[in-house]
Formats: sequence, structure tokens, C-alpha cells
Amino acid sequence: MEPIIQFEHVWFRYQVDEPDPPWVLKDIRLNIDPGEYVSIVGNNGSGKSTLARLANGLLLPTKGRVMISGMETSSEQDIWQIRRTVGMVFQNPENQIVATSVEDDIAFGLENIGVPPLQMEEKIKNAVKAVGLEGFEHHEPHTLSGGQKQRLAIAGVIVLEPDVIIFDESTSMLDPVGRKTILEIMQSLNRRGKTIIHITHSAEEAFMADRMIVMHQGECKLDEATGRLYQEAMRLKEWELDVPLEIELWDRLRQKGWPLPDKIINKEELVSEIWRLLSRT
Amino acid sequence: MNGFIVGMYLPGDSFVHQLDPRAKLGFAFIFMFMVFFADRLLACAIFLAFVLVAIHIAKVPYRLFFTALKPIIFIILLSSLLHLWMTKGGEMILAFPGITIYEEGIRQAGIISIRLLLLVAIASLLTFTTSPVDLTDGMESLLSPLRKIGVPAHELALMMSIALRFIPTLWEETEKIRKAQMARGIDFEEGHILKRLKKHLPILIPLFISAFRRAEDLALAMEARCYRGSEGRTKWRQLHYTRRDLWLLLILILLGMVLLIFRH
Ligand SMILES: Nc1ncnc2c1ncn2[C@@H]1O[C@H](COP(=O)(O)OP(=O)(O)OP(=O)(O)O)[C@@H](O)[C@H]1O
Ligand SMILES: [Mg+2]
Repeated sequence: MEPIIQFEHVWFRYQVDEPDPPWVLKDIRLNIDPGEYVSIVGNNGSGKSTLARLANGLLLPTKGRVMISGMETSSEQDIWQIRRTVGMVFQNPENQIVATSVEDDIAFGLENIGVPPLQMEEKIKNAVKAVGLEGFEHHEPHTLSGGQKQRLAIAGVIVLEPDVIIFDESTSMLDPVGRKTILEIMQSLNRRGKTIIHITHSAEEAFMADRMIVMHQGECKLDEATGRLYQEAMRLKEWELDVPLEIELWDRLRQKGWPLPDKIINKEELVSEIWRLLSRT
Repeated sequence: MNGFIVGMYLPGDSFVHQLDPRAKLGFAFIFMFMVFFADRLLACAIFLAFVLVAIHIAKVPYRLFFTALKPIIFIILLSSLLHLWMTKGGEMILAFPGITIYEEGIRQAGIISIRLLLLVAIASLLTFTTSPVDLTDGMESLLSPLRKIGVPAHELALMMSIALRFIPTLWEETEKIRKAQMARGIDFEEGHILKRLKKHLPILIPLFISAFRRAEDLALAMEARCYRGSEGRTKWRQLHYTRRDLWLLLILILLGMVLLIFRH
């Protein structure tokens, strides 16, 4: 299977007035297959957003190349197809909404790519349903809650039927309820075959993905299936990242001499192991 | 939304609501133009009567128009006073030391007040009864013939739509910053006008910075959603004129005749 996203030795730096701007991304090699659910973590300024922007041609590599479904992002005639293939949801829900009503905002993307007006109704309806905003079609954006606004932003992206959706810290400004809904939408989109890339600062959210990529000072430091990452998750501290609470607990209990297995693959397994130990004493 | 009603839309299904936005925009534009030629008190009164009837048909509460008028009441008062003071002619009505009020002065003051009132009322009626989407679509459609001579119709309409979209957001933000500054002990009500204006600087600066941030974010989000100007773009909403819109034409002709009949 051909990867849907390919970074081939990508180097990137912003064009600023300084004589020798620093490299923001250094020699990134990355393949993402269709249908994957990937999380990207890394501390502030490690280049995550830059990486995301390179993936749909909002930025172009300084060296190397980025291929999306076999199309190179620097090709001017393919760029629109690339942006339709890779959709992007940003951090601040407020600043992604263009139009003065929910349905008109969803229509915005369709209008941009020149969909005939008569075909739009159906597509808009489906997008509204996919994010659970039924009944809000005529609402003005400022009357929506933060979580609803972010769902609207997602609807505006999925209506273009992209194969890949990148969420750049899209949950970070929401309350716990809003956050949970967005995470559920991500999972359901992934089940329906979309490739999901989730950039986040939350270790817990990152471990919901199947694969995790750690960025540090512009380099890709770790790229591993989350199932396998569980036992070496304490390594995340090397890059000043958070570790999910259950892993922290598992590690500390083991250091205290509890006979826990040295391999756990998820939270449920850890809980049942602890129960077993507790019920034995 | 406490008292902020510029560009506010009141959903409804009155006759006025159902008119085509292009017809309404065109009407409002020509009406405003005509108001400048209404230089007789009687003509002004007829125009005013028409607007009152229109407001009634649109089922918009009158009190909203008073709120809309509030910001310009000062201007209306000032210009009326100037007319009372400066305009001479006709009979002398009142004479104080230093100021004499003539009949003509009262007439002119009345005319100028009604004219300003008419302008605000018709503009408010337009936004109260036309959704922002229709308003900007209508504008785009009316301006599109001018594209040939270089008027960026689509861009102007989009700009207006984004402005309408962000007015409530920025307004909310203003309130938030205001409260934050008040919590730090700034009293916005105290002092003379210059001093008070100066006190608003700590609101304006953060507001501007945040607005620029938002603009940058929005531009990026639009680009990610395949925006590339008007080229190759379709419109979801299609506008249709109906027989109703002919009424506006008829009214314009009648009002035009009023102007002609009561000419100086
Ligand atoms: N428009 C820009 N112009 C110049 N430098 C930039 C620009 N955007 C980002 N940078 C720099 O590039 C580096 C990487 O930024 P990037 O936004 O990709 O990081 P990030 O991992 O997304 O961080 P965060 O977690 O804070 O979102 C940072 O050092 C930043 O200062
Ligand atoms: Mg970022």
C-alpha cells in the first residue's frame, strides 16, 4: 500500500530577516498509511504545527519533499487536490469560522472547490450529522459553545471529504465535555477509514492513537505503536513530556517492589493486575 | 448582547423579510439618496410616515430603533441647535438676548432631524430584516457587474461577511478586557472626555493585537479549506426575485413623485 503522507528528508526553516534562521524541522522522514490514527507530541516550539502545515501545502519544504497520495506539495496544479485530501482543524475554534451561520460556514469549503449548488444540500446535511449539530443549522456561530464551534470547524473540513484530517491541538481550548466529544468524533472518523493525525500536549489523548510520534527540537525522536510504547513510556520524560497517569503509577509501584508484569499494553490490563495483587493479600 | 445592535438580524417571516436582498439593498440605497433631496417639511413627513408603516409591516419592535438611534442623538441635537441659532428667515418666534429664533430655523431643524432619523431607520430596517448571509450575497450580486471595471465584488462581500461574523466576538472580547481593566482599578466613568478616552487605550491595544491574531488564524484556516478567491467558486444560495419585489419599485416611484410635487 502506498503511504498517503510521505516526508522525504524534509528540512524546513521560516524565512525571517535574520541572516541565518534556525532549522525548525531537521531531516524528517515519515510515512503514514491510509487509515492510521497517529498522535504527535512534543513540547512548545518543537515543530509540530510546522510539520502539520507542510502536510497540506500551507508551507513548502526548504529541502526535501512532501508527497500526498503521490502528489508533491510544491506542485502548483496539485495543491488544491492536496488540500482536499488533507484537511486541518486548528486550535482556536473561534478563528476558523468564516460565515454568519452554521450551514453557510459548512458550505464555504464546498463553494471554494466549485461544487454545483444543487449538490451541496445533501453534503451539508451529512456533515452536520457527522458532528452531531442537528438543529443548529441556522444558528449564528457566536451563539455556539466552544465545543460546538469546534464541531462546526470539523464539519467544515469533513464536508470536503478529505482522506486525512489533522487536528492541531484542537482539544486544548475546550472544557472536559467538549474535549471528550471531539475525541469521540476523531475515533469515529478513524473507524470510517479516515487517517487521523492528532497533535496534542496531553499524554492521555496521545495514547488513544495507534501510533505516536515524538518531536523534539525539530527532530522526530520516536515513532512507535502505542501498544508497544507502554512499557517504555517513562522514556517520554527524556523529552520533558508527560506520562499517562496509569503508567506513572505502574512505574512507581514497580520501583516499590510490587510484582507487576514488566509489560502492560493498556490501562484495563494494569487495573486488573493491581486488583489481582490486592485481592491476593 | 447588551445593547449592541449594529448589523443585528431579527429572524422573521414578514413581507419585508421575504423581499429579495438585492431589491432591498437597491431600495435602501436609492431611498437614502432621495432623503437628501427631501428639503420640504411635508415631503419629510411623508417619508417618515412611509418608514413607520414599513417598520410596522416588518413587525420589528419600535424600541429597537430607539436603541439604534442612540449613538447619533447627539448629532441630531447639535445640528438642530445650529439651525435654530443660525438660520434666519420667516417670522421671528422667540427672542432672547444673544439668540433669536426664526420660523425658518425651526423648519430647518425639523427637516435635518427627520432626515438623519430616516437614514438610520432605513439602514436599521434593512439589517433587522435581512440575514447577514443574504445581505452580503445581495451586495456581491449587485456589485458583480462592476467587476469588469475592477471592483472586487466577491472580496468586498466576503470582507463584510467576516466583519459581521466577528462583530459579536470582538464585542464580547471588549467587554472582557474592560472588566479585567476595571478589576485593576481603572474607572472608565471618571474624568473629562479626553481623560476618559485615554483610559480606553488599555482596552483598544489588547483588542487590536487579538484581532490581528484572529485575522492571521482565519486566513490560514480559509486557505486550508481551499479558499482561492472568486475564481472557480460557486454559490450555495441562489437569489430569486419575486413579484413582491415590484412593490419596492412602485414605492420608489411614488416617493419620487412626492419629491417632485413638493419641490421648492
Ligand atoms: N511564522 C513563523 N515565523 C517564524 N518562526 C516561526 C513561525 N512559526 C513558528 N516559528 C518558530 O518555529 C518553531 C516551531 O514552531 P511550531 O509552531 O511548529 O511549534 P509547535 O511544536 O507547534 O509548538 P506549540 O506546542 O507551542 O504549538 C518555533 O521555534 C517557533 O518560534
Ligand atoms: Mg503548535
